[in-house]
Amino acid sequence: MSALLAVTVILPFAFAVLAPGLGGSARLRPAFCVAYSLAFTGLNLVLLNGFLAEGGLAWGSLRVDRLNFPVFLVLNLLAAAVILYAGFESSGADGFARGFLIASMFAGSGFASLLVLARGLLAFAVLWEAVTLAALAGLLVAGRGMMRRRLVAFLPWLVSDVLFLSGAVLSKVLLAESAVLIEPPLTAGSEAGVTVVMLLFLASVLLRLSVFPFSFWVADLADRADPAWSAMFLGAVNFLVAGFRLLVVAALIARLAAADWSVLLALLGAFSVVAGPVYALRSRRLGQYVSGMYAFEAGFLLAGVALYSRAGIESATYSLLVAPLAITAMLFACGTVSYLKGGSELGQNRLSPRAARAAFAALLLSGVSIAGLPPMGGFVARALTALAGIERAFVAPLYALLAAAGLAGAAVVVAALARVMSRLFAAKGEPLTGRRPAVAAGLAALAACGASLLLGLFPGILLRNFIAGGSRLLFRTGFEGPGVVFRGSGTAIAHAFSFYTTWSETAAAFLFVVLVLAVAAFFMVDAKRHARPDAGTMPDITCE
Amino acid sequence: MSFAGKIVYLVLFPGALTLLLLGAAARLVLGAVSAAARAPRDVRPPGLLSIYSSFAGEPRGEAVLAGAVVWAAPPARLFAVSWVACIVSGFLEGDLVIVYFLLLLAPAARLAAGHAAGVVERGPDATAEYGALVGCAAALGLALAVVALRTGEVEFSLVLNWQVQNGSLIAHTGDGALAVAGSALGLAGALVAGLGLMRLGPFHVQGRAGAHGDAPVRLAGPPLAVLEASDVAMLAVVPLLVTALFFAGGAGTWYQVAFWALKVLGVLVVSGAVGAACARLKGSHALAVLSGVGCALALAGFIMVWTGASL
Repeated sequence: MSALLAVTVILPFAFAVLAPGLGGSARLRPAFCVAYSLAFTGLNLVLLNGFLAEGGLAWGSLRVDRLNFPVFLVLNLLAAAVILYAGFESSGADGFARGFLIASMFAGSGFASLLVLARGLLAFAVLWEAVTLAALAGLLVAGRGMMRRRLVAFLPWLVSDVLFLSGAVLSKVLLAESAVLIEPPLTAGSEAGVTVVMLLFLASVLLRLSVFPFSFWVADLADRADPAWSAMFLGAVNFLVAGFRLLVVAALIARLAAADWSVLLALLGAFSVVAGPVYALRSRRLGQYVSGMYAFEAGFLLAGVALYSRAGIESATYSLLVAPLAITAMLFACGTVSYLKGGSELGQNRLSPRAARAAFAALLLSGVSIAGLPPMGGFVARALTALAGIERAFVAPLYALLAAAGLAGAAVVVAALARVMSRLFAAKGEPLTGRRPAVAAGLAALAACGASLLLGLFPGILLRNFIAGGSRLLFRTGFEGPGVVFRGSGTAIAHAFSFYTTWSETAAAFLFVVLVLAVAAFFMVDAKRHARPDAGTMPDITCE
Repeated sequence: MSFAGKIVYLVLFPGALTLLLLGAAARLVLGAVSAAARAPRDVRPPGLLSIYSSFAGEPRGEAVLAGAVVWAAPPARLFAVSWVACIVSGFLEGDLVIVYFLLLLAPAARLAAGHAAGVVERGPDATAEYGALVGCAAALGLALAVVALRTGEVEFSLVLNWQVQNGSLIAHTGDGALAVAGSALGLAGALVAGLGLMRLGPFHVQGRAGAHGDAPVRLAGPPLAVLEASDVAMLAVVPLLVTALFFAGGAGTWYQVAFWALKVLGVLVVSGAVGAACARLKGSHALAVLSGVGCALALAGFIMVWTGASL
C-alpha cells in the first residue's frame, strides 16, 4: 500500500511533464486525458480499499489518517474528472497553450494532494505556494480576454497567500511553532501574538474560501478563466484546500486563543449563507451566480466550524467533502454553456436544453445539491449543519436564528437557480456560435452530480468511515480549550445524525416512486399518441 | 421496515392516495369558508374532476430534456408532500430539518415545472413566485426554530411526545408568558407560510393561459394532473403539520383522534378564512407584503421565545 500511495502522489507530476506535448496535440489529448483519468481513479479506489482495510497508510514522512485521507481522495477523484473534461472541452486555447494549461492542472492537483498530507508548516507553506504558482501559470497561459485582467482577478488569491505566509512566519518567530496542527501548551509567545497569527491565518482562509463579502474575485475569475482551469482550481483544489485549512485554523483557535471566537465566526458564516444567494439571485453574469453559490457553500462550512461542537465539526467536514462535487459540476456546466452561447451574460442568446443536455442537467442537479434539496449530498450537509446549530441553540438561542438564516438562504438559492436556468435556457434556442458540446465533457459533469447523489443516499460512507474518527484528530473527546467550550453530541442530536446514516432506504424509495410515476405517465401518453395518429392540437392551457 | 413498505407508505397510506382524498375533503371545507367569507374569487386548487380531465389531456411535441423536468418535477412535488405526511403521522422517521427541506422541494419542483414548460417566465409572475417562495420559507424556518427552542427536540416524534407529556406548545406555560406569546406569533407565521404552501389567497397565482407558444412541452396532461394533485394533497398536509407543531396531543383513544381531527379542521378553517380575506389583495405587491408579514411575525415570535428562554 505504501508503494500505491507513492504512485498516487507521483503520477500527477509524471503526467505534468508529458502534458505540454501530448496534451497540446488535439489528436492525442483526449486519449491522454482519458488514460490518466481512468488510471488515477482506479488507483485512488484501490487506495481507498487499502485504507479501509488497514486504517491508515504511510509513505516516508507522508501519513494518511481519517482526517486528511477523505480530502485527499475527493481531491484526486475530482481532479481525474476535471482532467477528463479538459481533454474534450474545446472552448479555450489550443495547441501548446492548452497543453501547458493541462500541465499546470496536473501539477496543481498534485501539489494540493501533497498539501493536505503535510504536517510541518514549512512544507505546508511551500506546497501552498506551489499550488498558487501552478494556478497562476495556467491562468496566464489560457483564458478569456486580456491577460492583464486575468492577473488582476487573481490578485485576491495572492493577497490571501501573503496573509498566510505572514501568519506562518509570525507563528515561527513569535510562537516558536512549526507544525500545522500546533499542540498546546505553547512554549513561547503571548496572547497578542496568538491573536495576530490566528487573525492572519483566518483572514487568509476566509478570503480564499470567498466568504461574503470577499466573494467578488470568484466572479471575475470564473468569467475570465478557461472553464477547465475554473473547474480545477476554483472547484476542486481551492475549496478543498482552503476548507481543510479552515478546519485546521478553527482547531488552532480553539487550542490556543484565550478568547471565544465562535460567535464572530458564526455570524460571518450566517451572513455569507444569506448574502451569497442574494448576490446570485441578482446576478447578470454566470460568474456572479457562481460566486454567490460559492459564498453560500463557504458560509455553511464556516457556520459548521464555528459551532465548536462534535456535531458542528462533523457537519462541516461533511460539507467540505460534498460541496466541491456540486461546485465543480456547476463550473463544468457554466463553462460549457458560456462557450456555446459565446458569452456569460444572462438573458441573452438563450440555449435550448437539447443543445447542451449534459450542461443543463449538471447545472440543475448541482444547483439542487447546493440548495440542499433531498436526496442530494448537499441536503445531508445542510441538514447536519442545521441540526448542529439547533443543538447549540439549546444552550445559546442565537444559534437557532443562525440555523433559521441558513434554511432561508437555501430558499434563496432555489430562487436563484430557477432564475438562472430560465435566463440561460429557452424552449427554442440554438447556440449562436453553432458549436456543439463534447459528450465526454458532459459525462464528467454528470459523474460529479452522480457522486453527490451517491453520497446523499449513503452518507454513512463518509460519516462512519472517516468523519467520526477524523473529527477526533482535531478535537479529542473531552477537549477543553482556554476560550472555546467544545461540546460533545447530546443524545437528541446523536440520534438525529444516526438517522441520516441509515436513511438511504427511505430516500431511495422516494426516488423510485418519483421515477416510476414520471416514466409511467410519459409512456402512457406516448402509447395513447401512437394509438391515435390523427391526434390534433393540444387543448388550451391553464397553469394555476 | 422494508423498502416495499416505505413505498406503500409514500404511495398509499398515509401518502399520496390518502392525501388526495383528505385534500379533496379539505377543498370542500375551504369552498364553504370562501362562500361564507364572500371571497371575490375561487382561490382553491382544482378538484378531483379537474385533475381527472387534466390527466386526459396531452402534452404537445416530443419530449426534450426540459420536458424531462416537466415529467419529473410534479411527481417529486407530490411525493415530497407525501413524505412529510408520513413523517408527521409517525410512519417514517424524520426531524424538523428534513420536513423543512421537503416543503422547500415542493414549491421548487413547481417552479421548475413551470419554467421548463415556459409558463413561468421573467416578469412580475416570476418575481412574485420567487418572493413568495423565499418569504414563506423564511417564515416556516423561523416557526420551526420556535418549536425546536421551546421543546428542546428536533426529531418529529419527540416533538409530539413532548407535547403529549407537557401539553400542546401553544398552551404550555411552564417557561413563561413571553414564550407562550412568542409561540403564538410563531404559529401566525407558520399559518402565513401555510397559505403560501397551499397557494391560497394572493398566493393563488394565475398562470397565463395559452402563453409562450414556443414551449415544446406544455404543462398539460399527466404532468399538470400530478401538479394539481400535489396542490390538493398540500391542503391536507399543511393543516396537519401546523397542528402537529403547535397543537399536538395524545392519539391513543378514539376521542383523542377525533380531537386531533377537530384541531386540523380548525386550522384549515382559519387558513381558509385568512386566505379568503386576503384574496382581495392582488398582484405581486400583495405577495411580498403577505410574505413579509409572515416573516416578521415568525421572527418576532422567535425573539420572544429566545428572550423567554434566556430570562
